[in-house]
Amino acid sequence: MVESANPASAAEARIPLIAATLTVAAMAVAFAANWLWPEFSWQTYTVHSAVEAVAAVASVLVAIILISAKEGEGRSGKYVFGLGLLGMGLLDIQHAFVAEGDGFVFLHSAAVLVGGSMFALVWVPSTGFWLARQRATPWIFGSVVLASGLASIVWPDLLPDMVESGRFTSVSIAANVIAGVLFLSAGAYLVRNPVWSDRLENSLFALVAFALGASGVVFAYSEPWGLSWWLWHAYRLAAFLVLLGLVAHGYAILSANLRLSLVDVQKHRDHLEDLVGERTAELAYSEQRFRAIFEQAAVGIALVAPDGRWIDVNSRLCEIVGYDREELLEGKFQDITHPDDLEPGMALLQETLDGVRDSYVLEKRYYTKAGAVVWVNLFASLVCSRSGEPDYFVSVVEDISEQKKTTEALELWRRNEQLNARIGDAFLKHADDKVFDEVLNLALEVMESEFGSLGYVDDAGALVVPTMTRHIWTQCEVADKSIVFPREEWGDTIWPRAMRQKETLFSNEPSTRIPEGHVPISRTVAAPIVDRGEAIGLIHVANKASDYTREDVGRLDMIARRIAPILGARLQRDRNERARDKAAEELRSTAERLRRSNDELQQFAYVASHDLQEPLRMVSSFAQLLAERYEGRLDTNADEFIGFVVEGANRMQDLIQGLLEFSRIESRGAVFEATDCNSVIEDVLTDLQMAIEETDAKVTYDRMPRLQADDRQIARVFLNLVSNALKFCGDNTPKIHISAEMQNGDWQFSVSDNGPGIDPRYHDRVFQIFQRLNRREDYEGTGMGLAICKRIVERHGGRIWVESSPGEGAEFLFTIPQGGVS
Amino acid sequence: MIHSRPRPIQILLVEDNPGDVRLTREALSSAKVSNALNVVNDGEAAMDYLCQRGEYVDAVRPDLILLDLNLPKKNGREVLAEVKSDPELKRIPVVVLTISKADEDILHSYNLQANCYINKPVDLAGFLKVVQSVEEFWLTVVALPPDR
Repeated sequence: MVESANPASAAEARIPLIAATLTVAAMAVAFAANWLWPEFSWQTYTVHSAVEAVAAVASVLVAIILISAKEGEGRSGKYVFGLGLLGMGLLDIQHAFVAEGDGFVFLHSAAVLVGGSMFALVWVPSTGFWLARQRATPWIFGSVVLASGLASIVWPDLLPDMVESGRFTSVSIAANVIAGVLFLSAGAYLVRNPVWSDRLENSLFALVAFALGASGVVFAYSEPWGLSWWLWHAYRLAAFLVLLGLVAHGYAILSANLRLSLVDVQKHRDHLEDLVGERTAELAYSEQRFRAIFEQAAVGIALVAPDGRWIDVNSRLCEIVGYDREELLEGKFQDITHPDDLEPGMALLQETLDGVRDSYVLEKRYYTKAGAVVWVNLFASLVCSRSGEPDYFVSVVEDISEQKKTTEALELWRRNEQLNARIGDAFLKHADDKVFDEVLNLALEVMESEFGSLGYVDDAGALVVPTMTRHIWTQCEVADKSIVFPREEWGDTIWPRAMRQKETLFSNEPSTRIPEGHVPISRTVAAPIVDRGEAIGLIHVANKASDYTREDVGRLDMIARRIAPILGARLQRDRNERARDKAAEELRSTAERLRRSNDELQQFAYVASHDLQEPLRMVSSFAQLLAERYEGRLDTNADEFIGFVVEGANRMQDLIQGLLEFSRIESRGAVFEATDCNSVIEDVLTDLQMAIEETDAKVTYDRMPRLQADDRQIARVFLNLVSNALKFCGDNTPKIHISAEMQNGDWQFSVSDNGPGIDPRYHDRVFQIFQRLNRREDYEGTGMGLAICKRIVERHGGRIWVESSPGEGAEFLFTIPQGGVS
Repeated sequence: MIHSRPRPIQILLVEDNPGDVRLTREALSSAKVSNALNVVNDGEAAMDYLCQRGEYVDAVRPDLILLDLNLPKKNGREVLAEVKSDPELKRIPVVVLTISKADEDILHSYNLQANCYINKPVDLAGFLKVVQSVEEFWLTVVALPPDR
């Protein structure tokens, strides 16, 4: 209730004091009256009945007001007061009609006892007032009190003695005193704890309680119709009058409050209207904002009923799925969901409806109006009504097709890379006989195919299939299981066409043109392996569980492309290897032939020179014997002839010796050892001492190196070169110089002379066997010396040549590698 | 002393070349020591002679063997090997006289315990000189094993 100014507030604080004083004063007055006028007795039933009736009526009126006013009041204590007053009133009304005797006292005593007891209930905690909440309580209570009152009138004999020889008995005194104490206690409670919101009301009601309490206590000192007896009636009357005043005051306050309230209500209404207006505007603004967010969101947003009907969709969602808003709102989300995604989506939706989850996220596919598939990321969360019932879903739909495409492209790329690596690996790691199996298995795995084959085109143009899915191969009942398909027998099925067109072909129709007994082919993809424009092989897979798709075809095509360069290189390598093997074989047999021929030649040279010497010796020996024994005994011609025979035999001897030596350079050479060329040359010059002295030659040499060589052969080279220089000196006194220098890691030796020199035309020829440049008459010699030198130098891994021109002398040069040649 | 030997020195020449036989005979004909030259033409005959077999039952065991290496039937190396492995024959000095100058022939012969290896000179004078040297050395200088 709205607080309002109270004019009686000054008196209020004093009311308990007044009440206490009143009680004490009332009791004191009663005592005094009893003492001063003990004989006073005024027996008038009419006055008594009037007093009681007024009190009873006042009591009942107040009771009705209190009981009926109970609703809307905060405190149920007033209700209990109301009941108490009701009981008191009903009993007092009956009391007013009863003239005398026990019934007369009993009804009064019962009335104050009922009122006191009910008033005292105010001490009981408010939660105990369950009675107050029952609508029937006043009726039951009133009926019981009325019935007990009537019963006391009908059956007065049942009542205890209330009056005896003109005085109240202890029973009646006790009942009134107890009731008075109960009233007093209720008054005390009211002073301390307000039951009404209005303090004045509380005070006045406390005053009533005290007055009734005082009257109850005063009863103990009274006699019927005596002065104090009338006094406590007066008190009771006063109490009820106060009560009536209270009620009147309550009404006054109520009506004042009511007026005030009306104004308030108006104000409140206006205020509320203002608030409603504001809120409505706010709501409208909010709605507008949300609508804007909803409509302009970069993601699709939809409100979806639990059964899947679209309640509302934003334009972005319409854009994603390609439908108009109206078209969508006619149907359900299930209508445009990809069948594969329906089940997981519905499961999640059901879980959400069942309260297992609040929301869910799902990657799923919608069909657009155009029939295309669009990948979306769906976030759906459930909104419930106030009562907790599922109301609708808020779904946020994000188009992730691009993302998905990128992911798929990436995944495809990754898989291809992996596949490429595995194919490369297979070729690297596996021997020729395994690699085809390995690569085919890879292709079968990737293509999810039951079987297949992998082959290459050989040099003759036939398709050679070193590998086929083994179990299929053994299942085949075809008579000819040849794995070589000559080009003319290819026919016109899918794979030969693929080979001829150099493109990957596929068919999801069962093949009808397969040999009898061949396992049935339901679907097939054939990819030619094309390298540098040539179909060099074929990879062929068949019988996937479902139809081959464009992706499958692309994949096999990719595999074929991947295989192509490797297979091409491998086939080329095989061809090269075959050519190389052939060349190597030819080289080997040529070398063998050469070696054999060389051996034979050496053997021949050796044997020939050896065996030739035998008859030669005979010729020479007996010619000499002949000359010795018969010289001068025959004619001069005979002597000359014998001379020619001997000379011829001797020359032949030299030639044979030279040939023998030449043939033995390779086969009888010594192991290369550290050779000091200085001592070699010293020895050579010692051997040639005589010739040098004869020709008066001047031979000089530089410091010579040490190297790995066959010292005897090196000595032979120097010997031949120096003796040649001594021999072919022309008319000059021979001047010969031997030198050595390092040239590109080889030792280069030089023997130069001041002889007539050699025409460059003959520079090569001089090193050939039995080649002579001079007439025998001019120079001795077999024509073997330089050939032997050449062969020795070559055995040492060097070369020999001559630098000269006629008249300039000659310089013979040869090289010997420093470390020698093993 | 050797010089006081009552019988001529027995020489066995194993040589298939009649020219060489003749030349050897020529050379030895003027020898200082009296000698008897017996000639066989192949290796088998040489062994028969040395072992006194077949037609050579009455052959006298030689004091010196002149052995050519190139022989028909059984070559000089085999003959040398057999002679030097026979306890009776191995004491007989063997002079290998051959045209071969090959090192391996020389080595091989010495390994088979040839007593000396001589290369047949091509010219007559040389040959005669060699044979005479052999004669001089082996028949006059060297003390040969005593007869049984």
